[in-house]
Amino acid sequence: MIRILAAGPHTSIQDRGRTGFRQLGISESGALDSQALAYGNVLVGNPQNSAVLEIMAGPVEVAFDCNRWIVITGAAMQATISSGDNSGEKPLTMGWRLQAQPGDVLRIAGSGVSYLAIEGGIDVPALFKSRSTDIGASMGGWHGRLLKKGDVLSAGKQKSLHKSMGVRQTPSDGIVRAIPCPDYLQFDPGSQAALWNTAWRVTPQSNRMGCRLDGGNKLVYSGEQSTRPSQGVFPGVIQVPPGGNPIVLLADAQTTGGYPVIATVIKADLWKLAQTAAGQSLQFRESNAEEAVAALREEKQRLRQFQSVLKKHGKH
Amino acid sequence: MHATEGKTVDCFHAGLCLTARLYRMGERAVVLDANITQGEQNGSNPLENIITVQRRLWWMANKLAGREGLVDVVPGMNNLTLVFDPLASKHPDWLDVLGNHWEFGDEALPEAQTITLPVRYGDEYGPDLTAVAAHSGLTEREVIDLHTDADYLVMFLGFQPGFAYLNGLPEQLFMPRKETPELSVAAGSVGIGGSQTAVYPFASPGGWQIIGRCDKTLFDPQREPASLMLPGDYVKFIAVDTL
Repeated sequence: MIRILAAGPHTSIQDRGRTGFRQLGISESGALDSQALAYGNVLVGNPQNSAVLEIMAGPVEVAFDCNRWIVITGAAMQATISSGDNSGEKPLTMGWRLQAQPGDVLRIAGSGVSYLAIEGGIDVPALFKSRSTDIGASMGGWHGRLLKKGDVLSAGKQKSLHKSMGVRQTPSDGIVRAIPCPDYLQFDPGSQAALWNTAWRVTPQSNRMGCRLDGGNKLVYSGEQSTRPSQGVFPGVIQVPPGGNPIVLLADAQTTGGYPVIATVIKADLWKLAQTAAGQSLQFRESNAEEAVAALREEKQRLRQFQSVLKKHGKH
Repeated sequence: MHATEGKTVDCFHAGLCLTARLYRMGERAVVLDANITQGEQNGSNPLENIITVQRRLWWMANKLAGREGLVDVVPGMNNLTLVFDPLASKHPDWLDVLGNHWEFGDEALPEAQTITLPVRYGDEYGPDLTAVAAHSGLTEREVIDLHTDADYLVMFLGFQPGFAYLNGLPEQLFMPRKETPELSVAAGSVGIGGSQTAVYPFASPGGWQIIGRCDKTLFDPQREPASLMLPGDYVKFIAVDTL
């Protein structure tokens, strides 16, 4: 079991998300940075889709009463682990697994989207085939809510891991590839150019539903806006409300929407949105389906290679 | 085909030719949009077309749900989006699949129920009722009467779990969405967005004009079906003084 001693402002249980139920209006939810989720899980011997803690900011403190390998992936947080007998506190390197012992307390400080993956996975019941927390609909995860002080979670079965291993994570280069949608043609030429040329600043209003951008340039849609019918949307869709500031939909986004869609961010680059903090900027680069699928395949391949390295060197 | 290009496919129904536009949305979604048929058919009632089109989309959604390689099948307002796994081993061109189903499809007639929703209009429950009245040139009373007199049909669910998009809003009440979405709209809020009306099952950010509130449980994951309203159901609003 693991006990939450401090939960931070926004810590939730997430896995890869809840797909297949959009026709009921059920959002995807799931980890904002699916790469960090996958590497975290693989490092502690879990299936890629196991449930982990998604942490937006510290201070988070977790006490262990069991032997479990753990790893923190995603944003660069500051983490330490101290043993129950107070024999000292040691730093935990991001992306490197370590075995927590009964009595150990893990402390995480800093901010950024990060994941605490625990050997065996967080054991909560699946709802609509996912363990992710859907905050908007108050369902899934841990009682449909953010974690708070005093919550006690259980982890699944132990694996046969032995030595500390890790992965060096690539930081985001701030270049987010996107594919124009038909609505793109109904933006004036200046707005089309601005989509690609602007350094888009991530605003503090951004959350798990959407990454709200501001770049000074307003994007002007010339099509009919007022009676525009709603249609299916998904993470990565770049909506432009009449105000002209684009919003990139993220994991908790609604399933349908009615704002013009200028482009969609390719799936392989979605994690970069999670790793761009409020106040930082990103730039869109025009892409196409072929490049997007190749990037996705490459990402899958890289993860598979990493998995086989771990299998070769990381187990008895 | 460049991503921003599309193509059109016709289907024929009861002497009507219904045209749909097909296009790709990024690397993992395709869309069939039949909205261009609205009001463009010779001598036919555009409202009936909207419902005919939607019934065809329900049929398509049922037929396609669960297909290998498909992640989600999402009916919208006279449109249908397929989200697929671009790395799936079995990989038809989903744009062609949509086109074929549209062209050679049928109509679904789901078993309909009629659902009554009590609504407390105006005041703090419907902060935008005044704005809707001003926009339509009606009194608040007339807005409420128009909204409760109409019969609504559930076209599709979206936006939130159990959020039903309803067809049948009287034209006088059409009103654009807000320029910038509100950061929080209360659960149960009854809103108008463009030509559509709906009730928010959960609190959320939202861009619709809020005219009242309803306290029925619209979505319960422990219930089967989880959603109170399903596509094909009829809905009636009644005005109440207290919730």
